[in-house]
Amino acid sequence: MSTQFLNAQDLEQRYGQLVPLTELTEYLHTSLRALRPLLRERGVVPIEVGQLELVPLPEIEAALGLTNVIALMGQLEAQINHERFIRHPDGRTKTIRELRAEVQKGAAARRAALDALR
Amino acid sequence: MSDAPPCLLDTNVVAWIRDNHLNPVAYVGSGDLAVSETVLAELQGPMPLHDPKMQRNLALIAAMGGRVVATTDEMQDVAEQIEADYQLHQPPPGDDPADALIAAEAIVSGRVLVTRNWKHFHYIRGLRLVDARRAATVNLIDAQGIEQGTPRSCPCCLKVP
Repeated sequence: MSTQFLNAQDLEQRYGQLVPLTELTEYLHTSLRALRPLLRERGVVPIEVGQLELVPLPEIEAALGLTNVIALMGQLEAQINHERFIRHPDGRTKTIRELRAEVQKGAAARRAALDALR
Repeated sequence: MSDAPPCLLDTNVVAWIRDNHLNPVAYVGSGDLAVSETVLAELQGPMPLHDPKMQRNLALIAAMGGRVVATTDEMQDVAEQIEADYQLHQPPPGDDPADALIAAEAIVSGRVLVTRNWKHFHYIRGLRLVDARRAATVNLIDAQGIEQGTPRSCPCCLKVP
């Protein structure tokens, strides 16, 4: 087996958008152990980049009959971030007062970053 | 679209627009779109501001006019009132201070909340909302209409006084 050296852009040009296998398992609420044989059975071969295993999005959509995987993964990520946003590290739900105080802390920096783009 | 009301976008709607590469004004059907400080903070989450994904969020918000609704003391009071008023709803808003705060930001700023999380907002009186779960790509307000938040006879609302 020969080794090819490709950068991220070359990879995406060749295979289309790539998503990490671990993110896909989170989105599908499954495990790597369950997903690997399913992908193998449907001819989807993960691409290893260092420690990371990437799968081409178009192949995943075709193999699993999914559409719009990126947008749906974005929604899942938003849900996970939301849970993190409203809880303390010990799992307690923040009060409205606590959450507002936390929001205020970074508000000026976020506004400045936004203004810089306008 | 000139008659379309000013809208406040929930976090999940910003992510939806970003990931589907939609034109926000055409998608929602309003030329006056904003996010709130709470939504902006939630979008950032644990990411640094220079993270490419956060930069995409900021670029999207800048492209739609860069309006950010500041969270006021009045909004905080309204959010706490929402939490107190609907404790019997399932799920109760006490489980979700961010949603109570976002609802209050929409009510006090006079904006219609556009959200894909209908279940956490539909019962809040005084809130006007658009349910963005429908797979529309243009003019969501026309397609879905604007709802008045109110407890209804569905199982999730039955306990609300």
